[in-house]
Amino acid sequence: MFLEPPYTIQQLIDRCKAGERKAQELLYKQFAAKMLAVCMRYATDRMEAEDMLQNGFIKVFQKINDYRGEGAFEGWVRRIVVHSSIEYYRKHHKMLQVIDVVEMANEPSVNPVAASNLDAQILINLIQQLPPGYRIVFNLYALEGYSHKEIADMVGISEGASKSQLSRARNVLKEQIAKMEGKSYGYAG
Amino acid sequence: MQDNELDKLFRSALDDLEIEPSAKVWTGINSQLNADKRRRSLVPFLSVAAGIILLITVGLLFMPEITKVNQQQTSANKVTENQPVAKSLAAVKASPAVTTANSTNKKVAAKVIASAGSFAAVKVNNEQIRHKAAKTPELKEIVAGSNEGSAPVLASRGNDLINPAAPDARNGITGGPEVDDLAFKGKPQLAAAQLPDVDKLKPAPVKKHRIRSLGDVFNVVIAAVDKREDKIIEFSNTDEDDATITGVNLGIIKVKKEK
Repeated sequence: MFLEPPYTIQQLIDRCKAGERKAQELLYKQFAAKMLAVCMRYATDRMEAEDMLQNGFIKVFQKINDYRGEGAFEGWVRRIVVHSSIEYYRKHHKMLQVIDVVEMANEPSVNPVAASNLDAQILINLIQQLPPGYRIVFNLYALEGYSHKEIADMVGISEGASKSQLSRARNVLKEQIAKMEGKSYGYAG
Repeated sequence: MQDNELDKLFRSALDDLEIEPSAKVWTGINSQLNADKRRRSLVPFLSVAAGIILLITVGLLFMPEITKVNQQQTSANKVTENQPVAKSLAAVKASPAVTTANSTNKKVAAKVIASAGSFAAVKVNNEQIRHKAAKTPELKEIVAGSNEGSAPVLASRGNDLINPAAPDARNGITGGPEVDDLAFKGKPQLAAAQLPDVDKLKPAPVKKHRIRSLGDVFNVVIAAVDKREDKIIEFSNTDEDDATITGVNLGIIKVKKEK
């Protein structure tokens, strides 16, 4: 949507490979909003998400010569952004191992609504309140479509840990959604 | 709610979501990319500069270093020459006492001193002595035991005026403390005399040169010219791409990374 008419993505990629800053900026603007939405799911808040986005795009431009045009460019960018989000957690949190005690700090601070009406921002809030280990596994499995084996390799945990974190994450999310639905019925009734 | 229903709920709500980032994200990316560019343009310049500095340093420092190495070697030889003297000194110190002791003890004491530290000899002495105190084969006690006869004599030599009549070895309870003293004094001397031999027996460390990286190439070339243990400059020999300097020895200034 920010793309100026004379350029196609491929042209921009080629100019980025040559290190042209203007092309890099245009390419960034093309994908930034979509990728920030991805980062928001991996982060605890927007500031963290923007840090992840920044690291991700720096990597995109550093590695752009490796992109050979196999598969969609957006998918390639997304993979790099996801990887650098995981990397961010490795560096800043160091707590991707299984956390047994689920402690939700507070109830999600969202208005009570029915599941069908849950808008994106509320769902993102729910994910953000998961413990980081749960959040990453849930994102990678349910939203990116990676297998447990791939997740184990990416995150550096066992396949079993990936499975158990996924099921715990789902349970917490279901519980939270049920709570909100209950409240919403309560108010409606 | 089923697992896949839950996943679907999140996927459908979040898949096409777009959130506009703030302007500072691009600013951050831009400045990081600029820093990268600067670093990249510096690399060739730095490597050339490093090469020139290395050549100059090697050129300036090699001649004086070689003469220094020779000096170090000669001084090392002197040190080894000194050791036999120390050894015989210890023996000489003990011998006056030995001569005044009775004949059997004299033999034993001489043997202990001559073969100090050698376990087999200690055992033989042990059998010969057959003293109640000297049954354990520990060197310190053997020295004490074997000197039991001669030590009081030694003590008497020192305290001639106080105790003119040297008591018999076996009855000399008063000689006890001195005996112990002597054993303690004697031990470090004997140990000192033994140490250099042990060092000589150790095989010289053999370095294997297997060239696996750029660092190895440098190390081999440097090793061919610089014969010291700490080379003028040492590089890491890991398989990583870039050769990291792990040690520098400029004669006065020595820096070495622990492995």
